[in-house]
Amino acid sequence: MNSRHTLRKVLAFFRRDVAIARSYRMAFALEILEAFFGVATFYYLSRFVSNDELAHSFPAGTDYFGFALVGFAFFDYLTVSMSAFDNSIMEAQQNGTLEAMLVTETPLTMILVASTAYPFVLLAMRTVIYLAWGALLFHFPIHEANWLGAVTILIASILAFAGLGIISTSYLLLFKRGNPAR
Amino acid sequence: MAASALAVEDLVKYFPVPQTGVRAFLNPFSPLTHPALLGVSFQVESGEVAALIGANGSGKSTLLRILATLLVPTRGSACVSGYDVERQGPQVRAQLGFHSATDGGFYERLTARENLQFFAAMNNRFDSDAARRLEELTDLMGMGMFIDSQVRTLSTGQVHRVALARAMIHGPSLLLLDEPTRSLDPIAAAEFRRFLKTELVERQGTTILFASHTLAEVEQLADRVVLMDQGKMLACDSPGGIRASTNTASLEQALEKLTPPGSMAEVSL
Repeated sequence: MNSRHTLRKVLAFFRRDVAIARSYRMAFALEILEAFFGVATFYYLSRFVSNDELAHSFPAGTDYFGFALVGFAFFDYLTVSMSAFDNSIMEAQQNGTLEAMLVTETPLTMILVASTAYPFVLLAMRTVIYLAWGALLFHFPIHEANWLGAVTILIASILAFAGLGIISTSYLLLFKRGNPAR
Repeated sequence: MAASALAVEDLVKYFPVPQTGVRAFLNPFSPLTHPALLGVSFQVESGEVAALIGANGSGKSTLLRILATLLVPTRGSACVSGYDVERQGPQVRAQLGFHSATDGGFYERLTARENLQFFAAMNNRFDSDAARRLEELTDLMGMGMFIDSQVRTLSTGQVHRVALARAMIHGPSLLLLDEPTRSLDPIAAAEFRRFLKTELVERQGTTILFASHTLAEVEQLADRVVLMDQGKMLACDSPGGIRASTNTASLEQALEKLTPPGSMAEVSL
């Protein structure tokens, strides 16, 4: 299988998941809205939590809102890394498409990896909305971020958690039910 | 000499006995005690149509699933175009199209077209190539009326047509079909049989192995009949050969002679 075929297959998985998500219109719209309202919720909650003592424990120029927003935006990457693989297998088992995919020319590893394309792209979009919305409306200090460090740690964390996700998926494929990683 | 399209050699498959309750705790690693296939051997040459017949539980679906690389045999070997199903799965899957007896296995919120496009991509068919093949199959399977409807809105027979189209979307050289006309109406079933015989086998040289409970279908399509009972192969010959060897006038009478009383109750004429 050449790299062009691989990319096209990843795209096919992505299109499939977008089409399924779009077919649930209300849920799709709410997911987008949630990203916008989530930031506002965090901002106002952080104003309740903030006090002088807490402010001293953060680096200069940052506050609890920034801490919470970053945590909220990036924690989902770890959750998705760990659950996207076995979620895709579980869904395929439930709707009966796993068997149909396993007799195609696409190997299982490819099925697993390509199935995570949509969750990660969706997550990336949500992160952009969180950070942009936070910076535009609530003065989140995005210009002070160490992007290289953040991306390096994010990739390393995703890979580490994806390992756990793959172990969990192997368990699921072997024993059909249960998830030791949750 | 070229390898047979399909070669099955002394194939054995055991399933673990399902255990529940206290037994499952006392004996978590149950022995391989339930035989599904017991030493099945036969060959199908390129361009031949072979039928698997036998009562429910005779091992037809298990055999098809082993050939489709979905199950691993306990012993013995099976080769598709010379590729071993156990050790050379990717090469085997590139040769075959598989249609299971259970209809479905589709994304219900997607249309039939979107589903078929997705599975075409899974089989390395993209864009115009996939679209052309999809148009051919839409005409052939009479799917024009519902190709752009969500699968969840289709009838059982319509889903069955989509499932058959999926098995053929990449133009495989070997088709494994488990009860292919089960949910089709009589006209669609007749058209499908004609398509299998004239278009796929005679024009394209596709090899077909199908399981069926309908003897008329077997007589019409099959060059070779594999009769199975409780995991064992009782006979493998042409319909005429089976009739001659049992000295009977019809396949039905031949099967009655060859199988234990009552075991062919599910087979219809």
